[in-house]
Amino acid sequence: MKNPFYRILSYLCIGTFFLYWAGIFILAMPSNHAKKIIISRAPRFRNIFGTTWRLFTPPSTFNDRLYFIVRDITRPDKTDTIEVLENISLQKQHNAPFNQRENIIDHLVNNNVLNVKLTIWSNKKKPAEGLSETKDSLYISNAIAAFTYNKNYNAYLSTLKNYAIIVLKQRQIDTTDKELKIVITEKKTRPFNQMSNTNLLSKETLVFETPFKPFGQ
Amino acid sequence: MIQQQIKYYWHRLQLENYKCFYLAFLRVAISCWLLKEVCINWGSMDLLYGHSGFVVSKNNFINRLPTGGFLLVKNYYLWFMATYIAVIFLNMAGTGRWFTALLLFALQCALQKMNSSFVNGGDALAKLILFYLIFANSYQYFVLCKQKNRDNDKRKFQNLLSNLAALSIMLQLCIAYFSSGLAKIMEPVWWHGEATYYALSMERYIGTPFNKYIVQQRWLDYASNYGTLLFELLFPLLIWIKKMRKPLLVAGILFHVCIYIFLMIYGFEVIFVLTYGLFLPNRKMQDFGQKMKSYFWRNKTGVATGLY
Repeated sequence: MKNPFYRILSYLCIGTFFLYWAGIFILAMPSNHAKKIIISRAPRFRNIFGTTWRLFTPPSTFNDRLYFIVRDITRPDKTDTIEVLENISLQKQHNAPFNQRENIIDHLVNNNVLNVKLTIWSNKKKPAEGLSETKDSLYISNAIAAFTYNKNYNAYLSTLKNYAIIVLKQRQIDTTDKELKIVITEKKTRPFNQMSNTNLLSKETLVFETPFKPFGQ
Repeated sequence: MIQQQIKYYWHRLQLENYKCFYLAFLRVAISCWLLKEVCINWGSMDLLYGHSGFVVSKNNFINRLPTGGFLLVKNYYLWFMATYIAVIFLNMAGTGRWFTALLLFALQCALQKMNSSFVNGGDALAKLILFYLIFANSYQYFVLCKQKNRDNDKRKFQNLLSNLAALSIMLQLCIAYFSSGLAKIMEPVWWHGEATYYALSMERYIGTPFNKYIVQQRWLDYASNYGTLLFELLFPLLIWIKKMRKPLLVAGILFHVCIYIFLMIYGFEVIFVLTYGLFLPNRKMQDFGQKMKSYFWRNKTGVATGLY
């Protein structure tokens, strides 16, 4: 190149190329010191370019269950319990490969369920993974109290509440003078070494539950 | 010696746009894929971006818009989609070139922020490819108006940028596989060969009624588990060796077809496979394109012709 403008521009491009790929490579690797520096100093770079590619790492050894439990404020003994995730999955399977609408709902609901779980259990191993020192339901209520003012947590929970209203409307369940409790559990998949044992009952573990709260609160 | 090597590569990078044909094809293919995504989501647009949506969005730049953030998006998302579709068509036709590519990347980023709960790996890779295509000269083929002759230095500079962009897309694919493979080997469930059993058993991903029979075959569980690990870890290393390229690309296509069918992960797989063409020589891709064009032209008019 004879033109000094293009020559300098070319050097700049090559330099940027190497810097960019060094950054991407560091972000793609498992936890390391350089990665922490990039994340803290250049969060935008990480948000836009540092995508993590971790599908099925690890695959879940359980299926999530999301229960909406609705009860009358005046007659607390009268409750309706609706589980939604299994139903979404079944519809998705039934309509495959033309299941984009089910796929969308599956993504929207499951992502928020996952985020609620990640937020609540961020400080402790889930009961499915290890022994817990505190009673799980006590830990959950303490964790919920700790995250009451967390914006992201509130966004996830409000999303699930909004979805509960849609589901109840579809099932023609009136929400006036009613209160809602959201429960998330994990239902274990049959272990690999017992895959043919049809008598084995899948264990369901509680991972999240809210207290009953009136709709609109 | 090293100086000579650097000079050699420096010269080579400027000499020619080595992937000009496939970069142009990729621009059109990505545009078609984005259009397809819009079409299949069209019935659920209001659920995703409008007033029927139930997702409470996380704090991001849309919230900080001066005129009402997400409420503004919900009210006017159809205008946004109309602009997005128009820009996709412009990009497909190569009109506006780098400016259109940049605009499409910005719109794609905004669209993903409008409902981040619905973003998957395919969307993430598509966004990165759109970013790299901003720098690539993908306008030598499949454009409405051909580019005029440019001065030599400008052409050399554009060749350099194009080659770096093509290399970036290839590196991105390798990084995606390698980091995924690396994360997998650190998980005991992958290490013990049980991971595909659990993946194929997850209710959300049971793509066919055969999944429950397939997972009962232990040898198949082990083969698919370790096969996935080997493929993801070796692809980024061996794809640069000429002799290994074809078998690896065939294995990759099979790998993604299996995920597509058995795990119901659709858009994601198409985007990954689309980038494979960059690993093949430009000449071969051009010849293939020429053959396809002559074939279709002959079927249409009864006359075979050499085009381009």
